[in-house]
Amino acid sequence: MSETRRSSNQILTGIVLITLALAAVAAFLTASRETEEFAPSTPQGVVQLFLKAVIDGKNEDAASYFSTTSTCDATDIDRSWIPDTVRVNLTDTQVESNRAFIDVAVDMNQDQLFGDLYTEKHSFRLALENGKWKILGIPWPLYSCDEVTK
Amino acid sequence: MIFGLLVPLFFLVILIVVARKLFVRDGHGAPSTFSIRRLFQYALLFGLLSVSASGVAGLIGRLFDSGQIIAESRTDLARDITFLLVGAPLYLLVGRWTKRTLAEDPLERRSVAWNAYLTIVSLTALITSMTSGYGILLWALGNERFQGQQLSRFLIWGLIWIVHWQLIQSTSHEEESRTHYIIGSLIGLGVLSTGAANLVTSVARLAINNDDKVVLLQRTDPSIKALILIVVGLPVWYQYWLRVGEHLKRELLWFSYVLLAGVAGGFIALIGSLSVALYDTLVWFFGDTTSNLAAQHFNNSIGALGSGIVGLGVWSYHARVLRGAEESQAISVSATDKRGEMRRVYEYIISGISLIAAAAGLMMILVAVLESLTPSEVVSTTSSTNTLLVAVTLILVGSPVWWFFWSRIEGHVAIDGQEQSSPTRRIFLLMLFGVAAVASVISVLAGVFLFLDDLLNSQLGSETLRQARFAIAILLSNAAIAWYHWSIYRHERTISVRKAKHERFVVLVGPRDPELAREVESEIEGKVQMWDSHFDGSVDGEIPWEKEKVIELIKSTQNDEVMIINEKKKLRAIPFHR
Repeated sequence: MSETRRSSNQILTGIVLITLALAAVAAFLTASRETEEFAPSTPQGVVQLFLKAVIDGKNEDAASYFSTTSTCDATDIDRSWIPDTVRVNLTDTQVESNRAFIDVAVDMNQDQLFGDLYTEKHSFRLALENGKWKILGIPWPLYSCDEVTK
Repeated sequence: MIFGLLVPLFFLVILIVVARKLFVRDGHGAPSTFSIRRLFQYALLFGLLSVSASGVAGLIGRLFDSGQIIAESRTDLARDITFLLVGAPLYLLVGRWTKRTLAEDPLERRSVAWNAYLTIVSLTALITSMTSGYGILLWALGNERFQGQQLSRFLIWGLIWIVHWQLIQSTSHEEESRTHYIIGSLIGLGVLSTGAANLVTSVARLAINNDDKVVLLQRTDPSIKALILIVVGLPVWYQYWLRVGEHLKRELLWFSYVLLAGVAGGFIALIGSLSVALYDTLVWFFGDTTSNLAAQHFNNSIGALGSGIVGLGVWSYHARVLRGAEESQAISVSATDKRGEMRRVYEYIISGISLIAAAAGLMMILVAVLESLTPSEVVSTTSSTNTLLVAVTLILVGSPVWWFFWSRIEGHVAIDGQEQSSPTRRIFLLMLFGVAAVASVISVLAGVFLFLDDLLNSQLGSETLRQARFAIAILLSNAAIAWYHWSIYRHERTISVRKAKHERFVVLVGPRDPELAREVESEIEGKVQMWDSHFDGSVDGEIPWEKEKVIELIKSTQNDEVMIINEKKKLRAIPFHR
């Protein structure tokens, strides 16, 4: 039986060592990784700046990225909600002359210990207006715009 | 709408109960104590009692509220009067019928339906009284407005509970009322623990949050609410557990309560709370915080403090109860086995829970690695460091506890061969493989689906790997755990599992005497069935049973399974195997 214990302890030691190595790799990669900053002249850059402004609560700045044809404005962003811990990942970019389509995957509550982790997929439509990319339609985290208010 | 769903469900339950009762033998032999008549009689009695109580409570509540109401619809009044006028006479009628059947047939009190009725009514009354009592105390301490309905409901359902408690005490045997006591204990423990945990938390918050900016608005003092929960839960737990439940016979239901609700429940609360506190601390020093105010950042930790302390208390109390049960009953399987099977169940439960925490930590490390390898972040409110800290927290909390208990278990493997042949150990190992297999299959399904989805939609790329990160991480962490346990199991699978000690099974053949069966059962600590010796109309068993002789004969028999036949001249014991 001692041989059994020895072999299982060897496996356990192996698992512990692999876990420690993985933790070290994860720590290194996490520390050395930085979020890619896209140029403001690109569709990805516009979406990135728009979302940063929304997260920072600078809703007027965020609204400046809306197309002139959009019915959304800063008050619509005021009504929107995003969770405390949110991570937006770029999943796809398609640029067709004066139109662009940006797909993102939004991870919510991933960094919470007992958080309700879930992922949503959203698309941003953009159009070139006076040489600048502007967001069309009702982009996430907005779900409705131009609601009639008394 | 809800009633529309409940009606088919009700009939389905009845069908299952009837089918079960038709095909499963009654514990003390034929004739069965189940009948369709009883099922409907007691269901009707319960329904009419609820309707009558609701009507009476509603009307009395109006008296308490008189002077406060300035305008109202009379629909509630019409309903309450209807419930009282129709429900109460019918309840009295069915009640009289029940009283007669109970008096005429001694088997009636032993029937499943009667005892289920007592249990359901008693627990319904208990829960209603507790919720009403909570509301009354909130009002008494100035946190809510007075509601006459709550006071009347408390009085009426409290009275119903007292009456049915006394009925249970006077008419039911321990095995018939065990479920009632255990569920009542669980309710008491749950409310009491919640109250105690909330009290610790709110006191800690008061002590720590001396910054006025933190709390802007608060309607009711959480400490008061917590105290009320304690005031409501403590008497229930005392009455159900300390006075009765703790002294019940140590059998499956009793051990299930102590091990699952007490030991596992308390331990999970402790592990969860420790994880929250450690995670908040690690994030405060190494991660990204959402608030620079320590009081706000550690808000979850303060909340976890209460559940942690109470979890530790519940766990250690029930561990002591279990140890006491082991000592008093000497549950050890044999003289050569120094550890009782219950001790094993306890240790495997604790090591299993902590293993799950540590495995979740390993999984999160793999998730962090895969996320780092597939960068696609556009914007984020937190950094990936927090993901890594989740993993570190779970490993730091789970692995030391697991190691402590697992090395203790493995220490017994080295001492004797009893551990390897233990059914608990075998069940633990097989369950572990089973859970790992199910999780792996689900992970593979999810991973392959994500791969094919992106492949067929021409979107295959690093994003596919990122999406599948949890599936891959679950698969790999499960594989690691299964690998380690397989290395143990492969050397043990040839060892025959020791059979759990059989409780004695005795069949008494002779004149029907359910009381004797019950008395013998409690004397020998086993199962007793009674078979009536009437055959083709002739009565063969006119000689009455002599209890002392029956018990003496059973005890002198070596076999666990024996049939005792009450013959004309003497008792005869025939060993048998099922």
